[in-house]
This record gives sequence, C-alpha cells and structure tokens, in this order.
Amino acid sequence: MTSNSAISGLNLKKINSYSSVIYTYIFLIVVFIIFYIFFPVYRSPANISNLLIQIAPLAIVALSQAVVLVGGGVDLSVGAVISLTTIIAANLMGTSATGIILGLVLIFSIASLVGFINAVICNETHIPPLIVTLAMSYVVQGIVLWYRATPGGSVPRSLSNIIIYRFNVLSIPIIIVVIIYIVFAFIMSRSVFGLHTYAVGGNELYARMAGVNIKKIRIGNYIISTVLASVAGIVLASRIGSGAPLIGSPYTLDSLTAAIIGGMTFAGGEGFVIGALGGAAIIGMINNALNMSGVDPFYQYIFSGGLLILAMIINSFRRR
Amino acid sequence: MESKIKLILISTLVLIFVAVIPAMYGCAPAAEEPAAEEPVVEEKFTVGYDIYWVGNAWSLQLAEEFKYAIQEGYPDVVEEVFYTSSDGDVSRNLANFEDLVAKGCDIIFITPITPDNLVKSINDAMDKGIKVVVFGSAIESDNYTAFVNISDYEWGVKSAEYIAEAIDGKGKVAMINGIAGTGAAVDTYEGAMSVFEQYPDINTLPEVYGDWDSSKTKIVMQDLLAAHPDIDGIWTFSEPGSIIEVYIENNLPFVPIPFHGENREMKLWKQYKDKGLESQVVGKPSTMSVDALHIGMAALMGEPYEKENMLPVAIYTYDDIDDLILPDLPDRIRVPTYLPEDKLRELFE
Repeated sequence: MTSNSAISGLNLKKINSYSSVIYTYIFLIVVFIIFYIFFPVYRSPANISNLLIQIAPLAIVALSQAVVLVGGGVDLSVGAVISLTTIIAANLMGTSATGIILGLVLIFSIASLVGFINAVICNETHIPPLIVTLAMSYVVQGIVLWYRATPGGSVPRSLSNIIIYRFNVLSIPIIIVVIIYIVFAFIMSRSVFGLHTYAVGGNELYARMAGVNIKKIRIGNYIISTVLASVAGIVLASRIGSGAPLIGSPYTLDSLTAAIIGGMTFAGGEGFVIGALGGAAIIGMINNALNMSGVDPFYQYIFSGGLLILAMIINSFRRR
Repeated sequence: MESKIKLILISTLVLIFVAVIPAMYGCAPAAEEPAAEEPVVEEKFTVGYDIYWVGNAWSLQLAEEFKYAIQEGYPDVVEEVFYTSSDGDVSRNLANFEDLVAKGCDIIFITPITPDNLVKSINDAMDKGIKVVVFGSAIESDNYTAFVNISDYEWGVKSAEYIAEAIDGKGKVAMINGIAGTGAAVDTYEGAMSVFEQYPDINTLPEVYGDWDSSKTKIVMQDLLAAHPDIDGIWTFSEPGSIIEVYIENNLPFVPIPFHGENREMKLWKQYKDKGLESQVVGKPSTMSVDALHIGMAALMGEPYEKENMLPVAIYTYDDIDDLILPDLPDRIRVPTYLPEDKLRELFE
C-alpha cells in the first residue's frame, strides 16, 4: 500500500469517526432534555455551575485516553498520575509564584517521564500497552503512597483560587477544557502528528510502510496522555485544596468509558477526540441528574450503568 | 463533502452543548438560596445524606441505621431525604455534597473521604445557612454545625492496649490494616504503634492490608501464618471474623485479637470461648450515624446541642456477649444496632 492509499483509508475512518461523535452528542442532548423537563432543580444555575465544574477533570482525562486509543494504545496509568499530581501540588509547591511555577514544571516533567517510559517499554518490548500502563500505574501509585500515605498538604491558595474561579455558571476549569479540546481537535484532525496517530492506530504495518515513525508517534501520544492527566490532577487538587493519594483511581476506568462512549475504540485508528468530551459529559450529567432526582443511590448504579450501555449500543449500531 | 457536512453537524452539536445549554441555565430563574444567618423557618425540612461507601457491612449499616432512625423518629418534621453515594471516591464525595446543596437541603449529613476535600464546599454551604453535620471521619476545619466521630487513633490505642495486656507485653504481633492510603487506616495504625512502642519485647510484623474485605483478609492471614507460624497476637483493623475462621480451618490454637462488633465474631466467641478464643470488642458502632442525626435535628429545630461530639471507643468484654449477640440473625450485622429484626434480615440475609 502506498502512502496515498493509506491516507485515503484514513479519510474513510474519519468519516466514520464523525458519525460516532454525532451519535454521542445527540444522545447527550436527548438525555439533557429529558432531565431538563422532568427535574426542575436540575435547571438551577447553581446546579449547572456544579455540573460543569464536576465534569471538567474527567473531560480532560478522557481526552488523554482518547488520544492514546486513537493511536492504538490504552493508558491505565492516568489515575495514578492524577494522584501523584495532587500530592506534588499540595506538598512540594511553595506559596510564592516561583514555587508554584517550579512545582508545575516538576509535575509536567514527572508526568512526561511516566508517559515516555510507558511508550518506550511499549515500543521496545511489544508487551501490550494494557499491561505496561497497568504496571506503571502500580509503580506510580506505590511511590505516591510511599511519599504520602494519607490525604493532606495544602495547595497554594493563589493557585487554587485561580483554577477554581467561577463567574456565573462558567469557571476556569471549563475554559481549560474548551481550549484543550479545540487545540487537540485541530492537532488530531489537521496536523501531521494527528494523521500519523490515526495511521499507527489503524494499521501499524501500513503506517510503517507509509514512512510513519511509529515509535516517535507513540512517545508523543503517551506523553500527551500523562501530561493531560496531570492537568486534570491540578484541577482536582485545586478543588479539594489538598493532595489525596487515591483520588485518581476512579478516573482510570471512567476516562476509558468516556472515550469509548465518545466513539473511540480499543482497535485504534478511529474516533474523533471531541467525542470524549461528550462521553465525559454523559457520565457526569447522569450522576448529577440522578442525585438531583432523588433516585436511591443503589438504583443509581443500575440506572447509570444501563444508560451507559445504551450509549455504547447506539454507537455500536453506528459502526455496523 | 460528506465529511464536511458531518463536521459542520458535529460543530453545531458541540456548540449546543458548550454554549447553548449553559446559556439556558444562566437564563433560568435562580433557585431560592437561604441567606446567611437567616433563621430556618420551615416546618418541614429537606435532608441530605451522603453514603460515603457501601463496600462493607459497617458502612452499609451506618447508612441504614440513619435511614431507619430518620424515618421512624422524624416523620413530622422531615419533608424529604435525599441520599447520594460516593463509593469511596473523593471527587464524587465533593460532587455529591455540592449536588445536595444545589438541591436545596436544609441540613446535610456528610462523611468526608479525606480531611480536606470538603472544607471549601462546607464553608460555602454554611455561608448559605445550610446546617452541615460532619460525622464518621476527620475534617481539617471547625466550620460546621456539628461534628460526631470516634477517634480512629484512639481505636488503635485501645485495641493495641488489649493485645499488649493479653500477651503480657511480649511476643510477635501481626499488623493487619484496612485500605492503604485511607486516613482511618493510618490513624489506627499510628495509635496502635504508639502503644506497642512502649513494649520493647513486643515485635510487630510489617503492616499488611486486608482492605476491609473478608476474602482478602483471609488470604493475608494465611500468608502471614505461612511466614510466621509463631504469631502471639493479631492487631487487625480488617475483618477479625475472617481471621478467626482461618485459625479454625487450620485447627490452630487461638491468639488474642480485638473484635470489632460483628455478629459473626460474637457467635464464634461464644462457640470457641472454651477452646481458648480470647478477645475484647473494641467498637466503632455503626449507630454513630443515629447520634449524628439526633444532634443535627436538634440544631435544625433550634434545640440545644453540642457542636463537638467525640464519642468514646466502645469496649465490650465477654461478660457483655449476651447483650450483644443476635444468635438467630445473619453474621454480618454490627452490634449493637437500633435496626429491627425484620430490617436486619432484609439487609443481611
């Protein structure tokens, strides 16, 4: 296969990817309209403000997972990286501007290193990414618990005040989410890096034959993933004002679910990253709406799981 | 061409989500929010309760004790109770609290999963005049309506004191904790070690984790016995009943171990007392949520109440067993309990 035919194959997959995003957002809007009509409290500005800020960290991690999934991988270390970030933010950042900047540099450096190691092991050993990143999550989680076994520390107030600043129903985390998604929608659909990521995820052999530097692309994907996870960690740490060694754990599977609902697949090479935002919003919206509706929490799990399955079934019909 | 059309459609849908929906919310009439310092004037109240975890029988019963007590004790003053579930998730704990505030609750009963994660949100809720009762876990703040807890550190001290005394201040003690990284696990361990460190002839084994899970605790105990067959005492913050079962299954002589107040432990104690099973119940009763309820409702109704309520660790010896044991009821029930027999059967059978 030539480079051109590989690329035209990608275009067909892209069209398919767009469809999945459309289904995701239609589902999201339908769910929203139902909740909007039936639960008056759901409509309050206070609730929408809560809802948007609650969705933000998951939306960011879902994007990181989406990028890796498109490239044919998966990243189970994101949860541990989030926990690590909150611990560093709460314990190693000084209160001065210099301390905060150095702390952020440290966080992004460590996150990049984790992503780099993930990618190098995947590149050089051909061990499945699921295993590599799971093992890495244990290593990082172990370091976090060794350094600080209990929640605590304090995120510099000047940083957290900026990160969680709200104006009306909007807040800084939502702006961060919108900017990051716009940037990555552009990168993944318009740049050579994005196109090559689709190529690697779609068919590694053809991508190699087409001259794509697979190792480089994979390193980029995993570094993006862990750095975005650390951004989510900073938002979370600012929300709670401290570090927590286990705070990231639920985000590993939630981010994967959000990305899959949003149209990404384990097979790779498919999906439009904007879909991950819809996936994260569906998860967050369902949780929030069920709380607002007063549904017994035990039934909430069933209802929430059922709706997520429905979302994925709709997506699977689209793929046929 | 098809690609472009779909791209335009996606952009429209995303725009609807990120712009139009917030705008709709923004235009919606603002929910009535109670002003700070305003006296509560409603005759009936809306109550919020976050179930912080349902991972084991203790945390489940903590919530169920509350549900039953509020239903039976306050039917005339409570309009509605909203329950949320955090499932041990720090972020969800915070999100649920914010949801309960947005829902318009007059009082919220909450167990913080970490000492810090709710501080800012509780401050905001208190500013809005919402009563907040923090119970079952520590918090790094004193801005709440009332606080109800049993010190985990003190639990660690009392349980270790029992073991140290039972083994005459010398011997090898296994240390089995709950879940790594949780505040309760760290505090209890520190409390226990503060006691054991005073006994130079007590050798504590490295801490291991049973995760408050019956099967995991059994596996951990089996591994410990394989590596250290000469254990003289077991300090455990995780499933002592499962540990005793390992001893019974392997026909091993019992060693002193603190119980937590599970009905299974009481049954085993009664059955194997004559065969050398020695213990003491060092309890953190799941009825603590009922104490929190009464204190919170007193605050809500303008009655006198204590803001700080550090309840004592409950200690029971074998002399109390007939008051505690529920011989015909399921094993996993925590005793003592206020729940009626039919409710206990419904929950645990």
